[in-house]
Parts: sequence; C-alpha cells; structure tokens
Amino acid sequence: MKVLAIALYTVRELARRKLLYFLIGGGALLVILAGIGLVLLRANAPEGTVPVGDYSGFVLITMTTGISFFGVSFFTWIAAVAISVTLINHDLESGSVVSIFSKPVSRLEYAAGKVLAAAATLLVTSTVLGVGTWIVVLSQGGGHEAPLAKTFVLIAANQLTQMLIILPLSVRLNNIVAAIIGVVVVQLAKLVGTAHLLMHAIQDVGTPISSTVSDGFRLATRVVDVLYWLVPRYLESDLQKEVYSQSSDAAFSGSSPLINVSDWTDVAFWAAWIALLFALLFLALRSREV
Amino acid sequence: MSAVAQVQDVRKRYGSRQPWAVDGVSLSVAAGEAFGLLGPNGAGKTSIVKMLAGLTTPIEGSVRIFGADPLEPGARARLGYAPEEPDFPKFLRGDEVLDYFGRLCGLDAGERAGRAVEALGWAGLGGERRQVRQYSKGMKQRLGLAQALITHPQLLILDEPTSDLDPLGRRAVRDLIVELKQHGTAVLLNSHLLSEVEMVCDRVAIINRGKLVREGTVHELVPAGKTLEDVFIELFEGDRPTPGGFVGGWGE
Repeated sequence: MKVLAIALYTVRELARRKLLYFLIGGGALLVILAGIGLVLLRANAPEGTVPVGDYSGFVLITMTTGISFFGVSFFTWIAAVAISVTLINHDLESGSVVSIFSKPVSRLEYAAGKVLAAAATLLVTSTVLGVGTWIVVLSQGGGHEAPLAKTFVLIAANQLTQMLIILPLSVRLNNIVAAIIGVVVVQLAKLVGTAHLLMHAIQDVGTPISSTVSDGFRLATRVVDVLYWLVPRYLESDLQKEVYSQSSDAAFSGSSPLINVSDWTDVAFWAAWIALLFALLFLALRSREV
Repeated sequence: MSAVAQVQDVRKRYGSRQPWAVDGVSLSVAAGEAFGLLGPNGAGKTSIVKMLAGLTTPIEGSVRIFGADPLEPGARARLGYAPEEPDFPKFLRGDEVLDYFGRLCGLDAGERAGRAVEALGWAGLGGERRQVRQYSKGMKQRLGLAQALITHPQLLILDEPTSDLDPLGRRAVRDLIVELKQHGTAVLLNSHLLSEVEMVCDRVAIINRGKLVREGTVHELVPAGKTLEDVFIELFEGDRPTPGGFVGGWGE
C-alpha cells in the first residue's frame, strides 16, 4: 500500500508538470505529420511513380513506422531522461524526502514506489504515441497490430533501462552529471549491440578475407561478445522483420541477419539488468543521509 | 517515567576528516515531558534530532525511540517530526501532502480525511487550494507542523518549529506543546527561542561543539532572578563575535 501511495502521488506530480505534455505533444505531432505526409505523397504522386501492390504497402508502412518510431522512441527517451533526473533528486535537494523518510516507510518501499511511477508514466507516454502511430498505419491500410503493440511495450522497457541507470547516479551526483553519464552508458551499450549484430552477420555471410584481417576480426568479435554480455541490452520487436518480409525485393528480405529480433533470453537479460539497477538504486538511497 | 526517546553515548560525524558533530551525548525524553535541546549554531542539535527521526545513523552509541532502532520503519509509526525549513512535493496541495503522508503511516481513508482536516485547520491552512510551490516559508512551516501531527504522535520532534511563524503561530505552537504534554506525548523541542523553551519545557539540555554542557530541569539550570537566555549567554559569551566596535569603524 505504501509503495502504491508513493507511486500514486509521484504520478500525480509528474502529470502536473508541463514538460511531459510538451514531450507527448511533440511526439504526437511527428506521428501526425508522418501520416499527413504519406497521404499527400500518395494523392499527388504522378501515375506510375508510386509503386503499386505489395511493394507499395511495404514502402508506405516502412516509412510510416520508421518516422513514427523515431518520434515515439526519441520523445519517450527524452521523457525518460527528464523524469529520471528529477524523480528522486528533486525530493533530495528540496528536502521533501526528510518528511517522507521520517514516516514509517522503508527506503526500499520509497525506491519501489518511485520506479513504479516512472514505469507507469513511460508506458502511458509510449501507449499514447503508439496509438497515434497505429492510427496512421490504419489510414494506410492497417495490419501488423501485434508487433506494433509489442514494439511500444519494448520502447517503454528500453527507456526504463535508461531511467534506472540515471536514477542511482542522481542520488549521489548532480542530476545533470547523472543524466550525461547515464545517456553515454546507454549509447555505448547500443553501440556494442549493433557491433555484435554486424560482426556476427559478417561471419555468417563468410566473406573471404585475408588471414591477418581474419585474426584481428576474430579477436574483435570475441571482445564484443564479452562486452555484449556485460552491458544492458536494447530490446527490439519483430515489426521490422514482419514488414520487410512483405517485400519481394531480396535486399529487404525478412530473413536478413541485420534484422535483430529480441528473444526470451534477451528479455530475461533485460529483467536481470532492471533488478540489478533497482538494487543499486536502493543501496544508493539506503546509504544516503538526509 | 519510561523513556520514549533515548540517546546513549552517541558520536556522529559526516566524514572521517570532519570534526565530531555529536561527541558522546546521552539524554532521554519521557512520556508527557517537553525536553528542550539548546545550543549555539553548529552545536550538533539537528544531528541528534535527525538520528532520532531515523534520517541519519550514529557512528558510535545507540539511539532508541519506543525502545527500537529508529531506522526500523515500524519504530517511526508513532513519531511526528517537523523538520527545520520543511519542504514537500511542490506540485501537490497541502491536503494532498497530508493524504500522501497519512497513507505512508498506514491510516485508512476515513482517518486520513478526518486528521487532514483537523491538522490543516489547526495550522491555519484549512481550505488552502494552492500547490506547495506557491506557499510562503511560513505556510510551509505550518504544513510541516500539520504533517507531524497526522499520526497523533506519542513522540513529537520539533526542529526550530517557530522560526518562520508570526506571533500568533508561535503562540499556537506553545499551546500545542502544553496540550500534548497533558495528553502524554513526549515533545523534543530544538529551538533558539529561549523564552519559549523556558515557558514550555520541563527539562533542558545545552549542547556545544557536539558535547553535552548542561542538563536538568529549567528550575535547576536557571537561578532565581535570571532567565534561560542569561544562562545561555554566560555559557557561551567567550564564543560570541566581538560585541561593539563594528559600526564604529564605518566613520561618520
């Protein structure tokens, strides 16, 4: 009950801050513009310049989802960073945490309530923008509802990772410094994920390369493999794979090794990271004197 | 009388190279007693108060409230703490802050609503609809007192409770302390307003540089014909900034 009380009033506070509405509005605007752009493209294109049939659907859906996802991912990411730098840090800096911690509530309950509020806010932000994207996709003929829904849940999950990296840092450091470190860590983790995918794709293709280069490549792949199991993982849905599988063009084959689809191992790994980061947040709060 | 709050041989500092903020202090507060904690700025009073409220931990010694470690959430169930310069989630209204804190204290909806009306009314904030970020310092201090009362505490810790209050507010706090004492509540009052302490406190401890300098009833510490302020000034006269001569150097 105490966790829910903390979450409830944190969400209420977040809902009263204008920043969140600005971010949701920005994301929604991008999604709407993507939809309008596609309608105009279709209506004004001269006869024969817009491909027809399945390929047409593929191009349109790819553009729509691409632009929309950029909007949803970018704006939920900004929301995650903006919320996490203030979520606990403002309570600590203002001194409101003094009154809260003198009540019969543990720091574990406080941390859980704050994270629950953050996760709920991210999910709502992602859902609002996701519904906007779904409406745009529907206006272009519809389809892909299940992978679309999965994509938006995974976007919220990825941003929760970003948030939980910043939160423990914000208990100990200046919130701007915490945000910068948190963002750099997540971008490095994404880079490792991309490098892992690329290197294994190259290995799978089996392109002949000289033995010297081959040795270096193998070593680099091993290093990336190790790093891949050490850094947080970015979850990806099967939407891209499903959309690409509609294409008759081999270049966009749904079976391309460059298309990553997260499986249950990745989800379990993500959950382990979330648990670890939450534990770090709790330890940072427990040792913090107010 | 049984001790509601007890501090035994406590030492505390904020970093291994820092001086001791509290250095071997022992004191106790009994039920129905008002205990004044006095001392010059930086004496270690707020450090003692924060340890009793479970906000910081002693490096040595023990701190107990209701016989338990105040770091245990359950031990704080009957504690009311009004911090110095209180602040609250700034986008919430006063009644929402009390509802929030009432939930943290495990009160049911009926209790929360009733006690919020009661505490806000006492604090002069009944019907106030603005969010905390629009409050003045005095209003925040009043809300700080109101939230400390929401639990109907058996131990009330007041850290400089009247520093931002007008004379009416100060009178209300004094009356509250007297009323709470009669009800059996232990009150620990940390204040620089010595006349107030003298009026309401049964016992007083004077602390300087983390050490207990004097402790006793007001009658024991204050000789006839003198005030607590006289005693305090005599104790620390050597430490105070050079009196006089400052403005004289400005010339005509």
